[in-house]
Amino acid sequence: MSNLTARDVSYTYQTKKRIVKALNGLSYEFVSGKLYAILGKSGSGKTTLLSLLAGLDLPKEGEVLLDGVSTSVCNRDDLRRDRIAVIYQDYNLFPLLTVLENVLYPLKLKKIPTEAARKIAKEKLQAVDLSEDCHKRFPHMLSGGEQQRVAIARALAGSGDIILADEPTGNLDTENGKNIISILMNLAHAENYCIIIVTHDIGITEEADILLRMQDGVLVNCVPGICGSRLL
Amino acid sequence: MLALTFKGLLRRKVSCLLFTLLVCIGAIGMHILSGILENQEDALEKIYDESKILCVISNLRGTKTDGLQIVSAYIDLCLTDEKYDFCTRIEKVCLKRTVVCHMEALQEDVSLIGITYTDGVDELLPQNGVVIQFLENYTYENLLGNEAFCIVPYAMLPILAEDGDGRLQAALTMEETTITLPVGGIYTGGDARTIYCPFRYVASLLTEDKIYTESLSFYVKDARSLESFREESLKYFSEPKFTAEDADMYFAMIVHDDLFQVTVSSIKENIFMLRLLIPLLYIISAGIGFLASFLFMRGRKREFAVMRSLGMHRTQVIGVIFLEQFLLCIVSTLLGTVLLQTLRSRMPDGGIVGGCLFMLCYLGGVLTAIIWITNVTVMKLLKTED
Repeated sequence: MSNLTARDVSYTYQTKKRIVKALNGLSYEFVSGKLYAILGKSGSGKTTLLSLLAGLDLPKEGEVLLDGVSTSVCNRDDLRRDRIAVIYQDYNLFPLLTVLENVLYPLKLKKIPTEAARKIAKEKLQAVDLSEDCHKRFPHMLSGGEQQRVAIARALAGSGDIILADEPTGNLDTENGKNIISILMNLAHAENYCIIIVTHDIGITEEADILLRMQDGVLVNCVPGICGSRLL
Repeated sequence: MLALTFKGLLRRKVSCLLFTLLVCIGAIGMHILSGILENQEDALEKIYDESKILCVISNLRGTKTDGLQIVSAYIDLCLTDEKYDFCTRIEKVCLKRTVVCHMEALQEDVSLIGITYTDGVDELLPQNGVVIQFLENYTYENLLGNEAFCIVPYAMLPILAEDGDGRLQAALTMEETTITLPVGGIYTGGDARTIYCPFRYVASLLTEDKIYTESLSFYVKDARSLESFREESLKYFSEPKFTAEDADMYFAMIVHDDLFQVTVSSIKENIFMLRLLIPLLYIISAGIGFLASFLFMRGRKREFAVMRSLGMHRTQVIGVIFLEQFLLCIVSTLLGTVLLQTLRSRMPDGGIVGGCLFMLCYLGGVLTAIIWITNVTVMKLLKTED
C-alpha cells in the first residue's frame, strides 16, 4: 500500500511581472485504493502540486514523501520510472511510434526483455479495452479517447501504483470522458492504485472518492455535489 | 530502448534525408578542401625536392659570366673547403679553364678547355646542336677527376694518331711541354678547334698562381633553405648591381630562381589560404551542426519532456538523441566519402582526416544543441496552463 504525502509544501515561481506563491504550506496524505479529484481555478497551483508529487520538481519549502522517504533524497527519475506515472490532457504519446511501441517504451526503460515486454504491453492495452487492431496504428490514427487509453496503458505498463492525471478528460467528449473515468476508478478500486486527478470535469468530481479543492495554495476537503460548481 | 528510438528516427523521413544530405555535402566539401590542401603541400614538397636552382657567378655588375678569372680560393670554397659550410650546400659545380695549345698534326693552335660538366659549358649544350659520344670506359663522371683524356671534335678524328693499342690520342704542345691525351669522347656540332678535358687535369698543368676558372656555376642542394643559402653566400659573393664598379677579385652571384619563386609563392599562398579557411570551416560546421540540430529538434521538445516524465535521466535523453544524430552523421559522412571515392581514383589521407574532423566539429555543434534543447522544465512543456 503506497502512501504519497505532501508535508508543509510551499512553492513560489517568478513570472515577468511578479513572484507567484503557488503552494503555501500544503499538507496532505494520498493513499492507495482511492481516486482523488483536485479542483481549483486556473493558476491556483494544481499542476504545480502534480509536478511536485511526480518528482518533476522539488518544493521550495517542506517535502514530498513517498512511503516515508522524501523525494529530495531519492532519485526522482527512478521514482517516475518505477513508482509514479503521469497522464496528460494532451496524451503526449510519441507520435512516430505505434500504439504498442508507445506502451513498450517504459518497459524498455526498465530493461525488460523484448518478448516479456510485448506480453505485458499487450495485457495493459487489453486492460484499457484497446483491441489488437490498434496496436500497429500510430497515435494520429486514433480518436482522442483511444489515445488517452493508450496513455493510461503506458502509465500502467510502468508498474507504478500511483497515477497522477492532469486533466485526463479535458480533450474528450462526454462519453469518452466517462470511459476514461471508469477505467481510472476501476484501477483505484480493483487494482489498489492511488489515483490523483487534477480536473475541471464535473463527471470526475461526482465519481471521485475524495474531492479536494485548491484554495490559497492549500488543499481543502470538499463534499461532492456541494463543493460548488463555481470552482470548476 | 534504442531500437524504439531509431524506429522513431527512421520514420522522420524528410528530416532524416535533409540531415543526411546536409552532412553529406559538408563532408564532401571538407574532404575536397582537405584533399586540396594535402595536394598543395605535396606539390610544394615535390617542387622543393625536384627544383634545381642554378647559381651563376658573374662580375659585380652581373653582365659577364664567362671569361672571368675566379681564383682558386673560390674553387676550393665551392669544391672542397670544409672549413666553410658553403661547399656542402651546393652540388654540380661547373668550372671551366681554357689554355691554348699547339697541335702539330693540325699545324694550328687549338683551345684545350678543362671542364667539370659538359652542361656547364654553353658551347657543349645540346640546344646548340652539339652531340657528345663517350668512347668505351669513359663517361661524364671522368670529367670530375684529373685523368688525362680528352673529348675531341669529330672533324679532328682523321688527323689523330693511334697508340700501340690502336686507341686514338691527341698530341698537343703547351708552353714547350708535349702532352698526349687519349681520346675518351667525340662531339659533333661544335667548334672544330676546341678540345675538352677534365678541369683538374688542366689545373695540374698550371702553376698555382695561374689556376683560376673562367666561369663558375653550381646548383643549390636543398631548395627549402634557399633563403638562408642566399644569406650565407653574401659572405663570399655580392648581389649583382648594375651600378657597381667591377673589381678583379670580387664577384656577384646570380640566382636563377624566378620560376621557382613564382611557383612556390603561389602554392604557399594557396596553402596559407586553405590553412586559414579550413579551421574557419570547422568552426562554421560546428555552428551548422548546432543550427541544423536545433531546428530539427526544436519540434521534439515535447517528446524529450515525455521521455523525462517516463523516468529517463536527462543524460539518458541526451545520450539517446546524440546517438541517433551520431549514427546519421556517420552514415552521411561515409556516404559522402564513398561518393567521392567513386568519383576520384584516390582519396588522399588528408581528405579522410578532413572529413572526420568535419564530422567531429559538426557533432560538437549537435551535442551543444541537444544539451540546450533538453534543458527544459518538463511540466512547463507538458502543460502551459496553470
